[in-house]
Amino acid sequence: MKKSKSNLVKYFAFLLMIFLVPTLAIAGEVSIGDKMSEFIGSMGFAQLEGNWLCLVMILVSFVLLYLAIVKKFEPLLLLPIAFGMLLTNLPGAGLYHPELFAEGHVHWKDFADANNVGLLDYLYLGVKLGIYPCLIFLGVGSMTDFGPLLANPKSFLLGAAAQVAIFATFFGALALGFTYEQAGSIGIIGGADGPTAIYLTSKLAPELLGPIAVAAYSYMALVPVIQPPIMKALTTEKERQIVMKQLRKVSKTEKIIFPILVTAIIALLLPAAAPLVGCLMLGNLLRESGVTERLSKTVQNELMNICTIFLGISVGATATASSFLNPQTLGILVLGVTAFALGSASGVLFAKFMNLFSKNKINPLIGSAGVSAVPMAARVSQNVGQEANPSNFLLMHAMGPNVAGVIGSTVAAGVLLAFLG
Amino acid sequence: MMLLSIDWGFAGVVCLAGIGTTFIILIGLIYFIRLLSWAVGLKDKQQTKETKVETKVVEKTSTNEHPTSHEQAAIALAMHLYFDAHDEEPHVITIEEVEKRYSPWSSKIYNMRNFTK
Repeated sequence: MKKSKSNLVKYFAFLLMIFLVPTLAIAGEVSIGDKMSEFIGSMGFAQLEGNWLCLVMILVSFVLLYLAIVKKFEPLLLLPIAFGMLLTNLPGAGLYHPELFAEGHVHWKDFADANNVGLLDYLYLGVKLGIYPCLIFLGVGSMTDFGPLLANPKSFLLGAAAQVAIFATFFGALALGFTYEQAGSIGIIGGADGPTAIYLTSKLAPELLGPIAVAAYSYMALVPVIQPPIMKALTTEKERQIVMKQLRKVSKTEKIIFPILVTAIIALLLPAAAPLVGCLMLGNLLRESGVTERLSKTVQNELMNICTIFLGISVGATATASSFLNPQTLGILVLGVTAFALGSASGVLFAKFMNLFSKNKINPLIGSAGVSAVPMAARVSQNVGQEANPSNFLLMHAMGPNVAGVIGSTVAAGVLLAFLG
Repeated sequence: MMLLSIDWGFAGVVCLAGIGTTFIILIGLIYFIRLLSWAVGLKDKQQTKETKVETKVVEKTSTNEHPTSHEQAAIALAMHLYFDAHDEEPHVITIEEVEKRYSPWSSKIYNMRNFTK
């Protein structure tokens, strides 16, 4: 027993010599102390000193993660956004470099130095070049049924009315001291359309991308909280009980021709809206044509999910302490919720206005679905309608203004881009 | 002072142009959809008319040349009784066997949830 113990000690001493002798040999040339202090200095913890705003941003990302996971606020997007925010604010990680995209341009020359480019810089290129929002719109189009809109084309008016909020908020943002480009990007939150908001902001005011994306998606998740009080305040019990005429059946030919001609008409009238409308309608054509089932399924699932991950994480990455923790963000959050409320209100009021002239009465509750937020806003109309009249089914009627709102917000974004871009 | 520095005229133009364009395009789409549904409806009507004519022709010829359904039933019964014919089936169930080639990519043996033992 004693013998085996002494052998073990010998072996250990031998191994120690093998490692120690070379170390001691070069000790004269390289200082171990320096190397150790350099290593410790490179740690994120060491870089936190004098950088406490990063800690605040990390806490903000934790709050957003909590909202996404526990409260289920648009988790598919809020979770990647929050995680992107966490990654970008970890000191020393070097995943995102805002200077590569300074002054609204991509500094391609700096991308040549791979040591100074992080993973999120590469992913952010998809946002900056307007790729992800358009690909997401491809998926949205593929999941959208324009049937209710085709059955009741008047729904377009409600979709257009809800967009008034975008321009009202544009005025509000200007009054608060934002530039024209920033005001346009903030106004588009009123369209309640995430990809459109991100697309327009990446073109007009990329420095506000983080706060605007967070505001847009948070408010979209809060549609069931924000809209019902406004809808109830602007309508009477009798109006909420209105039962609408059943929608006609829409033929397959109409559904196929619609996306093709809408793309042509809108792109010719407003070329700036062509990328978004084109992708939306291509997705819809893949669905309705009935001959590209595989493509339609891919666009709805795999492509959409991959783009959502990339979009979320790279938009979250733009929310650095310097760009997020300032009074502007507070202004954006206040203006965003105002835009949302105004959009809902203008839709409801316009539906009431339409009732003055039309024979077939419209339930004004479907007007609030004119803000995009598909299909959440339509569901809210259905729920509030059923509170007043349990035998009333407004969902399909509300889907008309809802999808009209998507087209309306892309048109509004196109106008803003044409004037301010 | 800040409010005075803003060109409110330009902002107003952007707003009016924005709201105007959105409404004009979407109202234009309303009329376009109506035109589309009218055109499709017209085509459907024409098709239904043609099929109606076809069925009428078929009905007419059928009444003239072929026996009625009652007559057909009587003929069938008479033939059945005369020939004493039954449809004999072999009572063999045939299920086509589809051979699948083995591939490790679709194998159920290999998956990510296997625990090491």
